[in-house]
Amino acid sequence: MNMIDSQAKRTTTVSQDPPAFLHVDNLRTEITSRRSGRVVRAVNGVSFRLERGRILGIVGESGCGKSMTAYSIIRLLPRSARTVGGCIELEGVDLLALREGEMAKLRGTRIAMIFQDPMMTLDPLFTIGDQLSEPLRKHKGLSGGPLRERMLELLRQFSISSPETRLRQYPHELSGGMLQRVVGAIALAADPELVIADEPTTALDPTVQAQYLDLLDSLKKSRDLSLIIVTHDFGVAARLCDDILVMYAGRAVEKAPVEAAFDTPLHPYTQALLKLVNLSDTDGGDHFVTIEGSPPDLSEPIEGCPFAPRCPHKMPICADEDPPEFAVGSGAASCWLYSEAAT
Amino acid sequence: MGSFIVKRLFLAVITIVGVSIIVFVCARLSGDVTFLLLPVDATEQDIRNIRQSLGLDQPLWVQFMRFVAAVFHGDFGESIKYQVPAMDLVVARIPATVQLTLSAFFISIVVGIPLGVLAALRRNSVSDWTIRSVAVLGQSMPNFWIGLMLILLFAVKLQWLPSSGRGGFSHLILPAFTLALFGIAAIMRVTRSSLLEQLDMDYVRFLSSKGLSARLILWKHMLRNAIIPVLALCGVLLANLIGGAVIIETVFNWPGLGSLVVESVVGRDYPVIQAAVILTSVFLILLNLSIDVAFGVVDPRIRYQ
Repeated sequence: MNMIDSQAKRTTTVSQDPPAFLHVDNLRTEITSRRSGRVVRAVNGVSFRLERGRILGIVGESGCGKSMTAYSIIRLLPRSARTVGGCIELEGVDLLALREGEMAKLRGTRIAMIFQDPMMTLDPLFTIGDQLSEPLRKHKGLSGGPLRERMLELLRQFSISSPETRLRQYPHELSGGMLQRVVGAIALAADPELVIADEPTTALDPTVQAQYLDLLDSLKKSRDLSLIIVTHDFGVAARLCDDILVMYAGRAVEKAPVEAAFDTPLHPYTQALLKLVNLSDTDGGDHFVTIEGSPPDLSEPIEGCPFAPRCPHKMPICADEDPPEFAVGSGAASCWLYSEAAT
Repeated sequence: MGSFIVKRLFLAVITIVGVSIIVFVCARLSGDVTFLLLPVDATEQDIRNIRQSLGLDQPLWVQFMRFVAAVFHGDFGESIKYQVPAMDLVVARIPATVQLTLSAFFISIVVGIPLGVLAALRRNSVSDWTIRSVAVLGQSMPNFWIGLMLILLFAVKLQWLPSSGRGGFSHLILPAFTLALFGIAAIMRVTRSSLLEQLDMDYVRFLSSKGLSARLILWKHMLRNAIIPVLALCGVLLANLIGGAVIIETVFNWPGLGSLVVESVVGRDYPVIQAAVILTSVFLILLNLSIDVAFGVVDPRIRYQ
């Protein structure tokens, strides 16, 4: 009962803010293990806002819930996962309240998704042309000559060489980088406004990675897209994003504009992550450095701050009470270190 | 696609050569035929004469070369028992066996795949549970017993269908269905699990993220991907059906190759065994070839290998 009350209170306080393009509030998604039946709180009360034309980077270690946050927004969770609370508003429409049929109408036309491994993203048994034509037929009502023209135009927009040949080719005939461009072209075919990309460059070669990020950036500008990039790579985040959301143990521990997040990280977890990145950069990545300890087991209830056991600035209160979010400068952090700063 | 088929044809020829060597050697390992043909009081001279007339006095490799040369002319020798060309005996029985196995194969696919799709769509429901239980029963009960039970029910009690022999369509129903039961169960189970496997694949989620309807995703994309393991199973199943036909033919008194082969093995009638096994292999290899072609049609990755 208590939890529902506090959730209701939060929602009302939030709705007084000016409406955002995308507003995620107190999102909670759980994964139920099929074997043991244990419930993992993969996303545990995540809130953030995204404005039109901005790129938000969600960063964190694997298992921190960043991908589950992304899948929750477009409502394409794996069968074992379920969103159990919170709200996701796209221009005032609560996506979690929509019926599946209504949600399907938004997919492709308003929200689209790019996945990690382009080799797994496309159906291996159909040509690129077939798979690119599907959203154009369905959402744009195109067919025949105009359909073909539009497909070629899209492939050119994504800098794909010899587009006429590509339409006849199967996914296994293209390189990973080329395929990820094709995936992008398909995802953006029906002009969505919000694109969610889950580790879009992780499976690509480093040189191809940079090209792909540049491509996303230029598309964002030309189409006024909003993007959510889920990544574990701070380099990707720094290069592309306007804002950063750092996740740890299913929670958003820090939110900040990209410069602030890298220059003056607030949360001890963000600080530790950045130190790792810098360390492995300076010594050429010769040895593997880690943060001491390991992330908590998300199927067990957590007392206090989830990062407390690994935190160098741990205080008595950290073990007892979960810190709320404190606004600091241009950002915010869920850490007791900032409790005076906030008051 | 053309070169793909040529390559498969070449492999098929090699397989047939391999099969003929194995058959030739095995038939001779089983014992000397001369003693079965001659009375107990036969003289040394009688034995020599008959060995000479059958070519058994020659070294094994000469026998094999003669055998291969003759086979290329469609000549498998004369049946030792019936004194007529073995080829004629076998060819007379082939249509019945082909009709029975192909009917059973067709039933397995036409019934097995829709049941598998239904079970996957309604997973963990009563219909899924029922279909799967019946499948386990179908796979674990010996088919000759099921055959006898079906005869008892439909031929003896209800008198809807004939109990044995080969004639019109009504004669085919019971033996074909009995032979198909194993295949129905196997195809249904593979279809179900393969289709369920597709559900969590990234490509399916990407199709959903394009806003396509669940129906299009299922019937156009998931089913075609799910059918690949089913095709692989079909190759194994065909061999299984031809083996199973031997038993079912006996149960239903179906005048196919099965009873002829059993009789020839008991009588060490090499020419007939050789003709039957080699012609069956050719039949099986041709069917597998058509499955390979089906693979190529469904999966472009195989076509271009």
